[in-house]
Amino acid sequence: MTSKQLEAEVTVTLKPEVLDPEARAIHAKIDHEFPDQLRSVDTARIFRLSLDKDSFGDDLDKAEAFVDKVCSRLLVNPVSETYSIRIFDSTEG
Amino acid sequence: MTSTKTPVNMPQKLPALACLIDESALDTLLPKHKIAKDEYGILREVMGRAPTISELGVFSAMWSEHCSYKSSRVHLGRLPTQAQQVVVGPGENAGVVHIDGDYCVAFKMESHNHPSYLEPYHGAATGVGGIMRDVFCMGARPIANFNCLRFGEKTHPKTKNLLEKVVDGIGDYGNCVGVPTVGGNLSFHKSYNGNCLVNAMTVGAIHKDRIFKGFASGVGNYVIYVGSATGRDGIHGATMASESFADSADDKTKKSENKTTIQVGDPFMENILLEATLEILDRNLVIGLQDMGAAGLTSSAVEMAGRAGNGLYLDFTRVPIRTKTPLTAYELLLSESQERMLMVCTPEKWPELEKLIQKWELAYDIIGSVTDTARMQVVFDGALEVDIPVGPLTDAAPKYERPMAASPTYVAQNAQISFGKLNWQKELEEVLKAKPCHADVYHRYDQHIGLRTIFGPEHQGAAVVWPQSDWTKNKDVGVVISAACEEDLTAENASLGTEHAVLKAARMVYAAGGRPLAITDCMNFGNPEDPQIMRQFSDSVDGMTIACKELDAPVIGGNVSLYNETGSTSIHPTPMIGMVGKIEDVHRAIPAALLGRYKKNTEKSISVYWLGPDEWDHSWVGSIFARVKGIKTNDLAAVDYGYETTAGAAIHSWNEKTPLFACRDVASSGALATILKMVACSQKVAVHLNTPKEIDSHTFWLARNQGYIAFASELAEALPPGIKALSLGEVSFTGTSELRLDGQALNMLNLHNAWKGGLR
Amino acid sequence: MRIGVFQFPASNNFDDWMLGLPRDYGQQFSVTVQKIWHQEAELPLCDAYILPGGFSYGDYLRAGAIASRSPLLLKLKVAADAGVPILGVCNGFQVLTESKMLPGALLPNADGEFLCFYTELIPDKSRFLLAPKTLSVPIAHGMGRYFCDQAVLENLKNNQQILLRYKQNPNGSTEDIAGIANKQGNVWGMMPHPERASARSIGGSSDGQWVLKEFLSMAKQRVINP
Repeated sequence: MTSKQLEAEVTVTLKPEVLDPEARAIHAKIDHEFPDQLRSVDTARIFRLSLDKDSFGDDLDKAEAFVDKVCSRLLVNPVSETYSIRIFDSTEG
Repeated sequence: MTSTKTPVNMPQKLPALACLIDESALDTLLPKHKIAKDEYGILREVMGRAPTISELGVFSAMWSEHCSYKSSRVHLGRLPTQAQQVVVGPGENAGVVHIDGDYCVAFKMESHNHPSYLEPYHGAATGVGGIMRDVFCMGARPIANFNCLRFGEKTHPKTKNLLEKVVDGIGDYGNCVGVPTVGGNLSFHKSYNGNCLVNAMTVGAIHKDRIFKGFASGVGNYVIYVGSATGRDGIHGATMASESFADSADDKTKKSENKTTIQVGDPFMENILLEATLEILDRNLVIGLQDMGAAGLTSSAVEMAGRAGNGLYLDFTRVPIRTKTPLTAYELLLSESQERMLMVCTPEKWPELEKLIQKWELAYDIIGSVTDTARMQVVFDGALEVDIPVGPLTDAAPKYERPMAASPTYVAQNAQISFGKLNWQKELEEVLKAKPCHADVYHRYDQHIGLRTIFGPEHQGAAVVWPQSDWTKNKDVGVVISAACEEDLTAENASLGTEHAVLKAARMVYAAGGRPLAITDCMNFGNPEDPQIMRQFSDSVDGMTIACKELDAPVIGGNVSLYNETGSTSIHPTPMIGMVGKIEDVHRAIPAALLGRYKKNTEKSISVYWLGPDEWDHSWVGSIFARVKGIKTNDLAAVDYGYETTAGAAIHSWNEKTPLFACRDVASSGALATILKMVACSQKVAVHLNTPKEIDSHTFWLARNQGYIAFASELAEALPPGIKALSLGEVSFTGTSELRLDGQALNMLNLHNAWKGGLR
Repeated sequence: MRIGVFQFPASNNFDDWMLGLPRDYGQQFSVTVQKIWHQEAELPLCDAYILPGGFSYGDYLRAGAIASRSPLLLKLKVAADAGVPILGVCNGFQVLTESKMLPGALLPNADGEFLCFYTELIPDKSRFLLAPKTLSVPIAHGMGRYFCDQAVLENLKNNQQILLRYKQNPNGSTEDIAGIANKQGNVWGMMPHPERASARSIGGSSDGQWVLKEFLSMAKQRVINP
């Protein structure tokens, strides 16, 4: 058996063409306090999934395929959102 | 799903008692638990030995000001609590008043001041959650929420954030649970700079024969835990609510951050718990059911066992927990995690109850059983952590007759004030700004869910709710709800000011076409150990007693919040009144304002009347104009209850003959601002007003008075003795916006903007 | 005519439909209502279905997201394809977009706040022939900003799928859209609450009837000419 513990980090952001009022408000506030130092602000949502050892072992591809399926089935609304997945071994320093 | 739960039976031999506290360390232990030295003496007598640390925690919570009312109990006994319409009086989770047929309403107001100041979003949200649970654990379905808020000055650096977060917290919670917020009040004063007030009220519909009181009866019955899993939330919340804040606001935030984890509410869980609880009670599956509110498992277990005169044996290893590190028995006893219920059911009903709990996907377990020991016994990790006699724990709770300062003498003196030439436009804008429109706040609450809201917060008067229930005989009957506190007046005179607060609530009910039935009160005061404050409290109770007796609207429940002080600054005495009344026909309810949507009925011009006592009477104290101007007077007169009830009846009989388009009491705003508020929602209106001949125009339009403004097509034919009506002018929907006062044109749009924008 | 009303955990407008439909439309359309609990194995046969407002699953993840993944929704989709009228209001609209029964998505309001007040709506003339020019109907939502891309928007316009528009856009919706239909025309979604403006004594407006009568007529037509 593997000693690896696979974790997935899913970052969900609004598509660039979708207005993000929260980001806009934050941007305006930062600009007000620290003028001329910022090009843009995006907000994002991060999901951390800890994967079952027995099911995935150290198979990164299998893990990524699974998480991708979870994203398209539930975590992400493709009409307004995009996402990225990072799979890593949490036992590695 | 099948059951994996097994009963918890008390063993023949209990495990050994956990370590007792080291009594040489009392000097640090007692202050930490807010237990006084002589209170510890009583504790020692009750126990006959030193307590375990868990037991000390139980006493600390149960004997806190918040749970035991130890400073206020001696005074609260004076309040009137009986009347024909009262079904359940104080002492239960909520009071119940009869409306019609089998239909009653349960209601109560409660404070969540301290938590809301420290963590406004979650503090306010959990306050709303707690009061709704109090109402639905009696078997009542919540049909209306109210909230009454007090903040520091608008210019104070903390106010804006507190207001924003408190409103968000109330909205996000109440909206998700699905109870409409139909009204409330909100004001700002510097006495609240260091202590905001969040008082929430819930009204629920209940059948008169299905009012549930939770008993832990039937030896051998199961004790069930249902709802959210337990975390470290709000440990010592009840004792926190019973202490003053340190000098600086930041200090106290830091201080309590170290002490507790804030309570976080989960309104989704509350909604499920609400539906599940009502179904459980409807199907008669439990004997006892109690919300785990302040002091969590401790108080709910003690209360239910106490009512039945029984004991409870609890195994805390069964309590569902959500933390990654295990909780101690002490923490499990005192956690104030939200959305949890303790239930008692017979072994026969358990399978059906379990199936229902599983249907709603709630966490649960059997955590104990009812015993005949009359003791609360908690085992955890192989030790007996708690072994306390239930009766003495509550009966021996300390009760103080705290010293009071002498009652201040108040000699009312007429104040004739002359203002010379007034700039009406400017003065009116100031008055409207000082008590602004609350649209920015109530737009963030769902006001309509339930399809019962005849008049909600938009009218900014009393709310009128239509039960539409099979339980009423009269299908048109309505529930009228109002809330008020006149802290400008209580600050001057706690007794008379409180009378006026009850009256203000009553006038709002009368103006809507209803009559008062009962009140709930939220007594927000400073530090009871200060004799001046204790005097305010006692006087306020006396004032409330007089008013409630005169109006036959007794107090059927409520809450006391003391220690609202920071450093040496106390809040104004704030006895918040929540009133429930009744109207026979909701279709004849009178709105407090004429909204644009309703205009279709009222295309023709409408006459404006003032209705009030035969002999014109006014005061400047408590008028917004005087406050804005910084004018101090002591001209608060005694109340004439004969007039008040007659005026209410006069409005109703007038409305019977020619339905009033709108009606509103004048009170602190003065007559002119009152009229503007009644039309300011629709901008396209022309208002033409003339000062009555016999009265000075400044006084008539700006001073506080006990009259009403009524919009009607014609004057009432005959008014009862002691009441008169004055014709003031006309309102017409011409499509243009104008205001003329004694011929002088004022800018209506600017007035509108001052009122609407006053919160920003 | 039998109308099925869905109940998910925290579908807190469920009771409103159970009360309001028979009260306000019972006589004219001989409506009976049937509760559909989300865990039911089969979709009960009804002449139309309502997805009520509320906060199904606490609006956690995204409003409507979790409810839209329930097995019963797949069966509702089959009914939709067969032409059975379906109306989703508020959270129900969110469930319909999340389940792809309607195009687009509903995002947090532009100013980030929950909003509850009466709005003026402009109904689509081709659909609501007899309705007045504007309707006064309340909203109550935190996530009602309708969003779709340009291609979808063109389709909506070309097929006359936009049912309702706001006169004054409260939430930043694309093209002031307050309610849409699917291409077939039998699945409707809207953020405003017509059921809350169906009796004049409550709130002063009964303009919601223009929307609901049209929907119920569509269902009735199908009962007569299946």
